[in-house]
Parts: sequence; structure tokens; C-alpha cells
Amino acid sequence: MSLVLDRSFDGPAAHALVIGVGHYRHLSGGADPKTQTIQNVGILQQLTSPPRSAVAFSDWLIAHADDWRVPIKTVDLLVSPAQADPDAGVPGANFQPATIANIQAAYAAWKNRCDDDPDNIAIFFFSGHGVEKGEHFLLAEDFGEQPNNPWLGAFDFDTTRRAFHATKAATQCFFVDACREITSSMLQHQVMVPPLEIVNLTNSADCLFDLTLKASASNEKAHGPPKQPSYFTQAVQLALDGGVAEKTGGRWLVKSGQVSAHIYDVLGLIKEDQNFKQRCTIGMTGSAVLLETQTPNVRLSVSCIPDSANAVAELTCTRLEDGQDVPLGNGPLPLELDLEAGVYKFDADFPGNEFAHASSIEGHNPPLDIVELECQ
Amino acid sequence: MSRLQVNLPNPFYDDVYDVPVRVDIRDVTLNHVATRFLPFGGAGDIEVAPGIYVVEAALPSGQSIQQVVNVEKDQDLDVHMNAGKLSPHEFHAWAYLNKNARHRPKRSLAHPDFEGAWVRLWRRHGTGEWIVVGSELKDGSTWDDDGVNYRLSAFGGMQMLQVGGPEVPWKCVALPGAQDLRVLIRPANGPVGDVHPLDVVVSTNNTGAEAILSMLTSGAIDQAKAMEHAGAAETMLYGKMADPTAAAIAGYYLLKTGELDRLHDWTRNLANWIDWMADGAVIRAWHLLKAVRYAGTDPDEARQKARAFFLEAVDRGVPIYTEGLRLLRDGLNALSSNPDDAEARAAKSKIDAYTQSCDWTAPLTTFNGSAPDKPSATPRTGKPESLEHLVFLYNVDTAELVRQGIVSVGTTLTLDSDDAHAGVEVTIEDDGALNLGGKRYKRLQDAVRSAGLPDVSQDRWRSSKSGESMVEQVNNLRHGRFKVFKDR
Repeated sequence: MSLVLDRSFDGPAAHALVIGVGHYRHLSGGADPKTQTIQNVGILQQLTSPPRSAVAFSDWLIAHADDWRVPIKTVDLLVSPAQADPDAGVPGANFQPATIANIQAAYAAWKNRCDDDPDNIAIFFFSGHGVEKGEHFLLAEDFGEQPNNPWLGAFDFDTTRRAFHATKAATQCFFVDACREITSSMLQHQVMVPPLEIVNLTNSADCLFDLTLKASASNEKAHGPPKQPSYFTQAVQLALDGGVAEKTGGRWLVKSGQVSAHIYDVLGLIKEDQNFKQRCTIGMTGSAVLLETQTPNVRLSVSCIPDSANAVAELTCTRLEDGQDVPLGNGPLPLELDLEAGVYKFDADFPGNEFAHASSIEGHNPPLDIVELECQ
Repeated sequence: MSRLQVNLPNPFYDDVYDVPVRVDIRDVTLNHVATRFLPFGGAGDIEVAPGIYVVEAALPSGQSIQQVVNVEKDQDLDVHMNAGKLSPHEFHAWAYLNKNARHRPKRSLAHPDFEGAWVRLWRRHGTGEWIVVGSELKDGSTWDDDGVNYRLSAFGGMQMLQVGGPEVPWKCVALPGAQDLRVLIRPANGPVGDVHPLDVVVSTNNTGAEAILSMLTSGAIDQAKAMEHAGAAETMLYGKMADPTAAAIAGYYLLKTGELDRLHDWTRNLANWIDWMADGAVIRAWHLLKAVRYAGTDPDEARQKARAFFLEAVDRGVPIYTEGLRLLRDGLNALSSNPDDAEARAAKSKIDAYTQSCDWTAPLTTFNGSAPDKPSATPRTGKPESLEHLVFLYNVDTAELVRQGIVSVGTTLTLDSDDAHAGVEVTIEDDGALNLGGKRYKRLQDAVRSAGLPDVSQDRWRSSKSGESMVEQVNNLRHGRFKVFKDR
């Protein structure tokens, strides 16, 4: 067993399966490298970011286990850390490796747990290498063990996803963060990669609340900083942590539909230039409340127009909810601020009369917003 | 009680009237108070208690505009939302407001990589054969550095737009049928090699259906559902004969939101009556399969019928919408897991060619390929063998300018004197290279860049051959009015 969270309670629950593969044992730089002769398989590298992504996501789930609409009951974590980062940031960690056999077994057990109540929430997370040729294939630690057919160490994600719809859990969240160094055009031959589960066509109609986000990056550098969680993982975590929350009935709620609608914006906040349209693909059906958060923060960029006003402006900020002044420090403009979501009034004064007084009153929702004070 | 009168004045052209806008009213703690749906260009009342409110208008493109207002007791307050900054050009507003096109291009179409880029239209005949056809560009087509906006007709049957160029991989985009179709082609953002360099945005004049499609594509299911489009979608599906592609969007929406009752039995007619459109067959197949799970219908019968519709869809070509391609792939994948079903496996093999070269993030089926029936994961670049019915997108490569007799060896091109960068001169040499200040360049824009100048449209050059501005010649090339040589 590789359950890092295993709680006991009655009633509906959320169950998570989290997988991070950085060590590709049989590829170049791995513990047991084998000469890979099929197509471009040999170009695949070891990865340090995906294990960190999986650990970070698992830790975040555990820390927020009671914030979800139904509490998280189990988190199953499979991690194969790269040899260059053997503990994936967790000293003394002894992870269950993400081999194809372990993934198959963990998937089956996770599916059974999800299948016992329609109010359950299923959460799947994968970070590692991916290849797309019609379907999206995800590579396990032992990918390439059989160089004559390296794909025995991979699984067909798209078909697996389609099959999982039949599970009773009506809310299903799948996050796939795959590094893509082999493209479809590089694979000249038909690739046969089995799914983790066979689709029963007549029982495969979409679940009621599907949130399937897939991100791919063309290389490790685009995927994430070395030995840090990937940009996509950070974005998903920030979105779930209130980054896309809306206040309804006095509660800040994160809904699956808001995650899908705003994931590009959040990704752009985490890493500029990573939010281009083809970075993520989104699958969703209805929108379900996933979790409730505290009042989330919004990151504000505050500046004056024209730029020359930034150097001479004296800036003040008031929160309209309670009329409280917000301390802004003495930093120069433009200013980056993390404030609680709310309605704020910004005033720019110019003691030297270089410009006339300027102000802005706006509501600022997470995750980010811009305040531009037009000074004349 | 007090009253907010929210006005959404339209500073653009008529074609964005009726774009559905969601107006949310939030209190000073950002707690949701009320939502109204207004057509762009319209107005509506909302009763509120006195207080401070955030009024936010969200468009299907994902853009929004906001105002904070303070409403006094018993006050009727007019709120005018300023939408003027939502689109860089009034002619592009339909895309920036109602389609997934809110991000502005970071490059110009005058960038050297787009030199010689071209566009053409394909139509599928009843025999299944695809041929290149001409399409008269209508009034209202515009050419700007940040996008070319075509208005054209693509009514009746399956049609595709293809873009390509010396540095632009050939890409096909399925077109919905419409007498008044809008197409915006602009530089795409994103890393070169990962992202096709040209973003193609398409819309019919059915703003309601296009809004639903935009929201489904961007994952804004909350907004789509909140707009109470189920009823509108039901009406669109009912009107399948008048607007079959809008009916297909409605079908996908209702399948996705699980509102099977609203699909009635109309999906059968959509599949059977619109016999050129693969989407109807795909929608019908998944309607039957969903009914097994959510309405308890007979699984064996549903499987058998769904199989027939999936195979029929492949016979019709490829779905117009990416959602249809995804659903068709999923259906055929499941069917072809049966090793005895050779027919399903053959159909899957045909569709695999599309799924292996498509852009899953696009609303319309979009794939790299040399022709609509020749999808390829290995994209082709360059010009087609025949330039018949082709239009050049923006700037034209020098070789073609020479070939068309617009310039010739020895011609000097000068940036038009009205331009801030007037005085730059480029001369065409014997081998077609461009000489600027003694240095030779392959592409005109490379020469321009070497002089430290920004990318400029070709219609801002003057040719020493004619002594006149190249506006008219460039305009002709952009309209497809040029010589088609038979010896290519």
C-alpha cells in the first residue's frame, strides 16, 4: 500500500491518486539504462520537476483534506524521484515507485474506493513524461524496460479517462501534467498502448461533473523549474486554494467550472508566457463545488499612467468594506501587492503638483488584477 | 428599494449586437447579489438595497468590464459600461467579444515568418472528393498588422479553410455553413514549433450559438449554464434545418450538461436529415449511449445503433467541431477494442489520422494537412502547386511579386514617404535577393528588420518600376486577383 492519507469515517469522501515520475530507470541517465532503438524514445530525459509536483500536490491535498465538499479520505502517492533529486525534497522519504505494475494496482484500488458513493469526489494527478499520438500516453518509471516495445511501461490516459466515467463518483477531477519531448510527428509507427481499464461503451457516458485538465510542455524547462513543482501543478494548486473562488451566500467556493474557465489566467500568473492557448486542454461537463476556502488573496499590480508619475506619486489605499487604510510600505511604483479579495480605493497624490490627483475604485477578485491610475 | 439600470452601449459595428453578456452584481465584500443576462448593446434593470456594488459584465470571450457604484436609498442609478477597449479594431469586435480570442497577438502579420502566407477554401462534393473553390470576399473584409478579417459565404455542405506559407505549416480548419461567415486570421501567441503560427477564429452570425461554443471551448461551463442556454439550445436544435451547425453546437452543449430531456428525439432527425454533417451522427450516437446510463434504455440496442451512427459519421468525413472529433474518437476506440469488428477498426484508422494531427484546443476541427482528406502529423510548408482560388494573406514573398510582374530585377522598393520610416530603399538583385545598404537578404522584412525598423505592411512600399505605391497590387494579391501560371 502507498496510502499517505488513510482516514476512517462514514459517508461520501474524496479519494486521490497522485503519481509523479522523474526517474526513468531504463532511459539515458537512469539506474538501469537500456539502448532504446524504437523511433525517438532515446531522446527522453530524466525529470526532476514531476516528483516534486506530485509530492507538493499530495501535501496540499492532505493539508486541505477537510476543506473539500466531502472530506478527503485517502491519498495514494506513487513517486519515482530522479537520481539527481533522490528524495524529491522529502528527506528520508521512501516512496512507492511509479512503475506500471504499481500504477495499475493503485488505479484499481482507487477506482474501487471512488465507486462506493455517487457523492464521492475522485481526484487523479499525474506528472511525468507524456506522448500523444491520437491518444495521450503517460510513461511509468519502467518505460523502456523492453526496448523492443518500450510502450509496455506506459498507459493510454484518454481511454482510461473515458472508462473511469462509469465510476459512481459523480465528481471526477483529473489533472495531467505531462512533459512532451516526443511529438506525434516523431512517431512514425502505430503505437499500441493499453489503458488501465477497458471502456464499456454503453456505460461510458460522461459523469455529471467532469474536470479534466491536461497540460503539456515541449521540454523540461517549459514544464517547470528544476527540483520544483511544475508551473501547471502550481497553477492547479493556486486555483484550488481560492485562486478561482467566488463568494456566494457569504462563502468563498471553488467550483470545478471556475477552475476550468480560469486555469489559463492562473497559469499566466505563475509563469508568464505559459498561458498560451494550446498549453492546456480542458474537459468538463457540469460544474460542482469542490471546496470552500478562506477569503482568498488577489495579486494586484498597481501603477500610474504615464510611467513618469510612478516616481512622484504618493499612494494610499482604502478597503471600502470597513473603511480601513491598507498599509502599502514605502516601495516604489509600480507595486505588487497581495491583498484579500475585496473592493479597494487607490488614490495617487502629487505633493509637487506634477500631476492632478488620480483615483481608482474597483472590486478585485482572485487570482490577479491590475490597477492603473490615469494621471494628468 | 433602489434600482441599477445597467447599459451596455455598443461602440462597435452592428455584428456584435446581441452577444449575450452576463452581468453580475456583487456587494462591497464581493458576495454575489444578482445576475442578469443582457444582449450587448442593450440595457436592463436590477433592484438592489442601498450600498456599494461591483457591476461586472462578462463576455463569452472571457473578457470583462467592471464598475463600482454607490447606490443611495430610492435612487435610480444609470451605469454605463465602457466596452471600447475590448477590441483593438471595431471590425474584430465579433472575435474579441464572442469568441475565444481575447488575447492580443504579440507579433505582427508583417513579421518575416508570414511573408507569402496564403489562404484557400475547400468544399467536399457528394462523392466525398474535396476540391479547392473560389470565394468572393465580401465588403467588410479588412487587413491589419494584428489580423486579417474576412467576410465570406460558406453555405451548404462541408467546407474547410486552409492556411499555409513558406514558413507556415499547412493547416485546415472546418467551417460551419453560413451565408455570412467571419474569419479572423492573426498571429498566434506561444512558442514557435509548439503552436501553429496562425490563429484562425471563425464565427457565423448566430451569436447565441457561437457564444455557447466559446464558453464550452474555454471551460466556462458555469457561465454557459447560468445563461440559461438550455432553453435556447433546445430551440437551436429544433431549428436544425435552418441552421444545422447551430443545432450541432446545441446538441454538444446539451450532451455535456446532461440535459437529455431537451434533446428529445430531435438528434435522430439531425443525424438523418443533415446527411452531409458528421456531427449529427456523433451527437445521435452519444445521445443513445447517455440514455443507457441516465434513462435506463436497453444497452445492447443502444450499442448497435450507436455503432452504426459512428460509422456513418466517418463516411461523412470528419466532424465540424472538435468536440465531435473527440466524441467520435472515444466511440470508435471503444468499438475497435473488439478484434472482430473490422469495420470499426477501419473507421478508427481513418479518424486516427485526424486525431494525430489536430489541435484539441480549437473549437472547430483543426489539423495540419495538405488537404482536408490528407491530415498529417508532419506538416507541409510552401505554396500549393496551383495558385488557383488562393488569396495571399498579408505580405507576399518577393519571388511571387517578381512572377506577377509587380516588381522586377533592378526594381528599388522605397518605404512610402508618408511613413515615419521613409527613405529606406531595397533593391531586387538578379537572383531575387534583396539588397539593403550592400547587404543581401532573402525576405523583404528581414531587410527591414536589419535597418532597425518595425515590421511593416507591404502596401506601404513604393516601387521604382511603376513609380507608384504598391497598395493596389498588394490589395489584388490579397483578393486573389492575380495571374495563375500553368507551369507551376
